[in-house]
Amino acid sequence: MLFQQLINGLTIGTAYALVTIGFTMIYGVLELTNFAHSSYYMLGAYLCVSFMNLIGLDVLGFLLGTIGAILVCGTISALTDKLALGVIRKRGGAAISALLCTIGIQTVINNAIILGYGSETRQFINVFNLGRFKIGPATVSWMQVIIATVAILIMLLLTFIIRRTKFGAGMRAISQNQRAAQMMGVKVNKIIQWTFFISASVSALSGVLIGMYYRTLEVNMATVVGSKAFAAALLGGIGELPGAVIGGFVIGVLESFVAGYVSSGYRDAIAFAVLIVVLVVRPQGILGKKIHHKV
Amino acid sequence: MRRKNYFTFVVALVLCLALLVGCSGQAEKPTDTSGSAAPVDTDGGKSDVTEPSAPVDTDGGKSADTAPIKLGGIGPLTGGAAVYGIAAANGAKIAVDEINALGGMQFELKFEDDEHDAEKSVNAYNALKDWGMQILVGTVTTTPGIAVTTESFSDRIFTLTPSASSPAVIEGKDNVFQMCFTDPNQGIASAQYIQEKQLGTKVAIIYNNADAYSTGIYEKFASEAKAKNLEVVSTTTFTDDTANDFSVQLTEAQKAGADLIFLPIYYQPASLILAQAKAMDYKPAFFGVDGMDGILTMENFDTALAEGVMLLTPFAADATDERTVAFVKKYDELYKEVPNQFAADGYDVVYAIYEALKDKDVKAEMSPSDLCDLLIEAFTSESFVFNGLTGENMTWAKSGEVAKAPKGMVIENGVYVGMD
Amino acid sequence: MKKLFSKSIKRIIEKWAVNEWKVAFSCLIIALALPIVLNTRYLLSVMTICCVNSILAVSLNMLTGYLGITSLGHAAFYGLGAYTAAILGTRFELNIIVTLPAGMIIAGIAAFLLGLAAIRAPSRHLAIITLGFCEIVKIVELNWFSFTGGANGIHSVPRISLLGWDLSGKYAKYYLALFLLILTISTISLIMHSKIGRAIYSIRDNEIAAESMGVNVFSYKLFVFTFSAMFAGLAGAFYAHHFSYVSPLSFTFEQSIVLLSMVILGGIGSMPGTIIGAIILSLLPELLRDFTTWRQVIYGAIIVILMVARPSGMLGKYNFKHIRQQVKYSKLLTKNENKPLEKMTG
Repeated sequence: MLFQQLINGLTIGTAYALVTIGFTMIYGVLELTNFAHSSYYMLGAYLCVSFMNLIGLDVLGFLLGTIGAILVCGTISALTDKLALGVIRKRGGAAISALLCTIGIQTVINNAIILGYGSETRQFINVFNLGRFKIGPATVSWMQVIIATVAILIMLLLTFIIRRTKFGAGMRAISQNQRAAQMMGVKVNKIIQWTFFISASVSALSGVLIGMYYRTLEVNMATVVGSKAFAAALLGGIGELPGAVIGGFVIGVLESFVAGYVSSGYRDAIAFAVLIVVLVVRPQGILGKKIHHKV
Repeated sequence: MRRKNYFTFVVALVLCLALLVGCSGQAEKPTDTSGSAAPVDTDGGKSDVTEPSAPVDTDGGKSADTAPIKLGGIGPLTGGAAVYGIAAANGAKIAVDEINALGGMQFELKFEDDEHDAEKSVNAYNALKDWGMQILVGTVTTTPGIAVTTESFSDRIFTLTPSASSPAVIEGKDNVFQMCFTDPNQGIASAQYIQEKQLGTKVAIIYNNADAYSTGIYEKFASEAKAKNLEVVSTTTFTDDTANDFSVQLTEAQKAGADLIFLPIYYQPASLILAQAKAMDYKPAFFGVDGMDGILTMENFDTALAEGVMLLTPFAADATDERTVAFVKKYDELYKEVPNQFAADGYDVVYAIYEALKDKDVKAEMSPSDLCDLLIEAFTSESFVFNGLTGENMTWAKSGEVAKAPKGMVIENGVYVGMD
Repeated sequence: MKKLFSKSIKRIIEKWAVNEWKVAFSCLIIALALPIVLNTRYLLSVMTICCVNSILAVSLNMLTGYLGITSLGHAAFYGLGAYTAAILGTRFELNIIVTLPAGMIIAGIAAFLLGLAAIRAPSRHLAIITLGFCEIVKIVELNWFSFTGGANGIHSVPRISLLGWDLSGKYAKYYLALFLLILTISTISLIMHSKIGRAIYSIRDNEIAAESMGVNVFSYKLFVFTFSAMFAGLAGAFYAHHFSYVSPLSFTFEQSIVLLSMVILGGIGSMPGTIIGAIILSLLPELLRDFTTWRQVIYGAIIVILMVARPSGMLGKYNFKHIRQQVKYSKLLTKNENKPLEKMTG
């Protein structure tokens, strides 16, 4: 029971972790709460299904569909930055104005999906029939293993990009001081657009994977992931990708334990209560470093 | 400057208070009359209704007969609950078109969006009222329904809701009627059914505690199960926000040794529960309610998962009776979808109103309150029996509750089979 | 053309800034007179909602605009006020004279306790803390069945009456909402024009500097947090009586986001801007009614366009006091033709 609940929690946590990675990237660079982020999660899953219907309901169709979904979502995300968020930045709008803009983008995407696909829950055909195996008393499906592996791989890859490449150095520079970075020759707008591209791609990929795991697509799937990703990002420590993954897992496991042992009705309430306590006690998050503010 | 500020505030406050007080005097009169036996619509609504029909009258009696009666519909057309509202709106539209094609009495339907929100719903209601609505078809969902029926009750607008199933919707409102079962009835019926047929000994319940429909059924089920000595070993909940992972709830049910899981929920989460239970190698019996209908027609749904699922439902899209077949065909032609029970409810609501008004002396320019009295009388009269998609021989009690027999169905080889 | 446009806008804003009180007063007169023209129930009910949303937005603006704390959980306090009024109204049949202050107090107490624990956290954490609080309140409302009715909510909350007068008519409700709005606006502007207000602004502009100047940052933050929640509670209590029905679905995180959108759209930290934002976002869904299934998409697109066109919100960039000073100086300049001073005004 305990072990099975732990596995359940890790599965839920993987979904949060995957979304949080992209979310925390943008938050780390621009300190922008991107509400549209979870919409790409949903859009990616829907697009993948559309592409699969066009190409074929097999592994090839799935792979091509996933790539297609990633590219489309990434492009839309980069375009929103170019056409809207970037303009707001340029005109000196406050970070909070960009936040409202992302809320608008989220509303458009979520409702465009309802318009385009209808609000009926749709099934996502699982092209890999991988089966399950048992660890002790608990059942684990291979799909869960794959998703968790992908999450960790993406995290490692992006951590590498941020820490070791020139592009990553640019991102870090922007996150510290945008104007100074610009003066040092960092192509600020280009890097931010690519950050948006990458973050939405990761989000779309996670939507595809999670959609396939639960074999279902529904129009509510974006709403809850968004706030949980926000919570996980802060819990893990802002801008820290490993923190994002840990934060996601912690929230997922916490939820499933609360639901299993305390009350399923209060699962989110207790998860958020714990989050509040953690943030009050340790404001920098699990992996974050303490920043001292100066005048 | 500062003194001037204070002065302005004081003036503003006094002005506002004065108006408030002045207004309360005005407001007293209309509410007094509307409280009396013959309610008069003192708001703008009534004049809006009569004005457009006045010129029609001058054209002569003939065109007055064909002037449409204005039906207002309210339901979620956007947002997460849009699936129910759109289906009900589509069903109602089909019925209106069919009736209008018959000649004779004409209907005009205007369906407004409420986003499944009480506040927006009341706005939608007021917008419809200004449009000249004479009869209300709605609301589709329960929560807005409770708010809107309070208004329609005080305005004396006859209300027949397709699917707002909580008793709070009809409670104490003589002009509000339901097309669907009330939630408590479903809960009681389900518990009785399970106990009588000995379908399970240890029952687990998974319900949506953010949903009035689900909660309503659960509550009565739980109390009835207690009375019938049906052992409930596990009760777990989810919300719309957490409706994709049920492993936690299923693990708990499995641990408790439940051999039957009662699912007073809609078919979308139910389909996930079935799939996830299978993935866990957990094979209890599943028992659903009318919200479960629709599961077989979900796109790409593996119907093998639903094998052996039992449910109480008034409507089945793959029923073979003539009326259902025709409706499903038409719906599919128009909207490229298989109708769910909400579509059928919407369709039935319009037909029930039509049946009730058919033999009466009805004119399009009748005021909503006159129509309301007429319809209440018709619906509660003992001779009024309605046969629709969602049930045979339906009758209505004075409370607004519908009486129809729930059909026990079991899914075998991907189709519904009657359990009796 | 564009230059002319921006110039004329500038002139209008200048006129507005100079005659701020006259404008406010005429707006009030218009608001009082509007029901003469717009007298159908639908329009009056929409206008009442505009007032309720304005109260919420103005109170949130005090927290977000004046103090600089982004709250994603304002709807929690709105809901607490509404539930307090609904429970008191249905179980104890209390009058709005009691329930309105009770709603304020309960929301205030909740905010005080939350603030006591969490207000010291960094601003971006407060966003998620308030969001979490909003979710917790919603979940408690959903689960505490015997007290709150769960997902069914509480219905038949008594209609509004005061000292024997029935105030539940469409006009009376509107004027009561307007009265509450004016009460909120005046209380908050009085505070912001006082010593407390200057301390609050100093915290927003630089917390550490303010602290070192002897401003007790913690207690001021706690005060604003509590105070802003109290007015949200007031709006909630009115809402409960206005609709005579409350359900947890009306006070979700999404509602908080809508409220925050009103503040940002109108212009953070600007009282008239906030009210304009609240009115726009309350009217927009109604104006888009004819688009049925498209309306949410259009609604979102309009928000994006508005934000791109005016990144600081409608009136966010304008500091009326500053503009007034500018106008005063330029008048002085033209009078004295004192050239060297010109630099100061630029």
